[in-house]
Amino acid sequence: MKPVERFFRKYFLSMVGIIVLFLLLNVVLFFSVLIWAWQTSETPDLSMSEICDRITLDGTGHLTAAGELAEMLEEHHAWAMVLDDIGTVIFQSRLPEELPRRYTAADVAKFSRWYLGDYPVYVQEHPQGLLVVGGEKGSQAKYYFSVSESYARKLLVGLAAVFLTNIIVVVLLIWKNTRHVEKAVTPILRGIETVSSGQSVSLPERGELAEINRQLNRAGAFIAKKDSARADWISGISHDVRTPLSVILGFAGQLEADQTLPASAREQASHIRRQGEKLRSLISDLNLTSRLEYSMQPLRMEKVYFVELARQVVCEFLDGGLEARYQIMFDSSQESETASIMGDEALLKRALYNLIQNSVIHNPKGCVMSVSVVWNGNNTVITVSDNGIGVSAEKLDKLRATTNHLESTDERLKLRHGLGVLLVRQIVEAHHGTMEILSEPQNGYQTVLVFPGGET
Amino acid sequence: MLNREILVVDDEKDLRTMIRSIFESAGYTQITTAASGQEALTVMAKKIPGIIILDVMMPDMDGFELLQEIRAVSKVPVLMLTAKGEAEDRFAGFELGADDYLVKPFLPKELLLRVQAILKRAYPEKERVVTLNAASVDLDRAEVIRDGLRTPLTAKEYSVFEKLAENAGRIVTIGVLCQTLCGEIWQGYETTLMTHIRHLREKIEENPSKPVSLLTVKGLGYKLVVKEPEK
Repeated sequence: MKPVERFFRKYFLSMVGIIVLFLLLNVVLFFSVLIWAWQTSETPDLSMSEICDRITLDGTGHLTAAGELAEMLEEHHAWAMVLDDIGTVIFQSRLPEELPRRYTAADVAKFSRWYLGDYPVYVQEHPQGLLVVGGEKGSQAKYYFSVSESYARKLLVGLAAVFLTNIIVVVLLIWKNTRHVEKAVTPILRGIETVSSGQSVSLPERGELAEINRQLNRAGAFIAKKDSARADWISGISHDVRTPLSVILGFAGQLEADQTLPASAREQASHIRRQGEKLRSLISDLNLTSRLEYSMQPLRMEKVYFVELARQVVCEFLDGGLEARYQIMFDSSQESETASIMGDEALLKRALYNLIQNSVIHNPKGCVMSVSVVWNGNNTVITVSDNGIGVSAEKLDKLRATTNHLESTDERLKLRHGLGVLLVRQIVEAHHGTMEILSEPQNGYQTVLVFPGGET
Repeated sequence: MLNREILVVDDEKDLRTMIRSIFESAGYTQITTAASGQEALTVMAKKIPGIIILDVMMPDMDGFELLQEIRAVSKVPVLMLTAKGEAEDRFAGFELGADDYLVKPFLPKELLLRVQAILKRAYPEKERVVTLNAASVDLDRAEVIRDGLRTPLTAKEYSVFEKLAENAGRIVTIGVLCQTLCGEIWQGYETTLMTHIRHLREKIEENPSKPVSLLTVKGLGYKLVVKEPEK
């Protein structure tokens, strides 16, 4: 999963977590309040059954209060009475004056549910009738609920549904909101990723984050501009060096061939010419490598028959006055004859040219080079090798690691050796191929290029 | 060929001097130089040269503009010198009618070879006869002349031989020769090519199994070794 997606997944989950935590907290708080209120409120710990027990029949068939009933009631500012079956008060204790002494069945039904003249009352069956205990006015809240069973059930289910709906709506809203933020922020994060890899971006400059997008676009354009300025600078410099170098090469060649000059002078001219030629290949390599580096070199893909391409490069060397101490052997497999890949012919030729040129430059005493092209059914494999002086293991590691001349930590930028190889690698990678270098000191140097795909 | 007039147009004095020196030491005798497009047109107004070597980058009138002006009045062969990298830009001058181009910095030998090739194409010898070790070939009649006897070449043999003769002294790759034989779809015709080469050798070589004129360059192609005509 990409970091951006991971971030938003986490963000969403944490929002849901917050909601769950919020609900749990509320449940805990609710019960805490209940417990606190119950523990701290005055409760009428007048027990109806205790009162009931204290009102008993005496020998005369009248009800009397036993023990400290009056004190008990007084303590709680309460009163008590017993009604007989026809509603007459047959016993009372501290019964307020204003209350009647007779009650109809309707009265009883009313006060047993609500209040009796604003006094909250409680009723309980007594062996002699109905015990009624009244509390102080305003001391108790009395409600009476009576609902149908199906109504109650529906109410419960409804409440649960409301609760669930709430949860779902909240989660959906969070999800939607997260998506909204994600949609706005993801392109920016992607843009930052792209810019950090050195490429330019083009984000739509709309919406709430338009300003940020604009700034990011500007940053990308700025980097691209710097890159292209650098490539242009290299191209300009190499352009300006080309004409003077032509003159140097031309005159050095003339002097070298001038039989009227002493041998030592001709030898010196030959040195000038050879160094000039090195400079020449360095300049064109530098220019092309910087263009490939900053993706300013468009690839012109076409069907390329590698065997023929390699033959032409080798012939260019053989016909171009390759000195007799150098030999090039060419070899190709029968299947490779008709094998082709999609590629940029000029660049591929350049890669091959550089490899052969490398062998020539690094073996001034001469060597036998060998170029082979093999099609193995899946890949085209090009091998360029020589039997020359090779390179040390340390140098080989450096060559293998060279990926970017601008990242080189070598303060002297040893372009003389590395650039040709770097350019080959860039060209091969632009064709999705691989490059491998094998070498041992005094035991030759071999480069193997593998280009995938292709057909026969 | 050496008496063809060469006009070198370049704003850089040293480069003009250098090119002049290259051609002089190669035996060319008539070399004119011009420092600007305007000067070149003045020179051309008097006499059209045999070939023009033209720098693309010049201050007053660039090489492409000058080329257009030249093409308006003459078909004289033009070789252009460009300071743009070779693989970077396909050469723009071909559309305007340049015959060839060379990327700076160039080697003197390259310049000589290109100019020779252009002159050969532009001014073919009156009698196109190629002299070989054991025989000579009359290209106009497609005949091999050997010990006074004339043997005709088949159409295929002729096309292969012509290609080799055009590039005498240089290797012509198997691909290029197959393309000459079979056109666009030439891959896989090496055996056909070998048959024609064998027949050619039977006609032109003293000992076809030990060729000295039509050489095989192993794996790469063939090369025709031609005797320079005596002057």
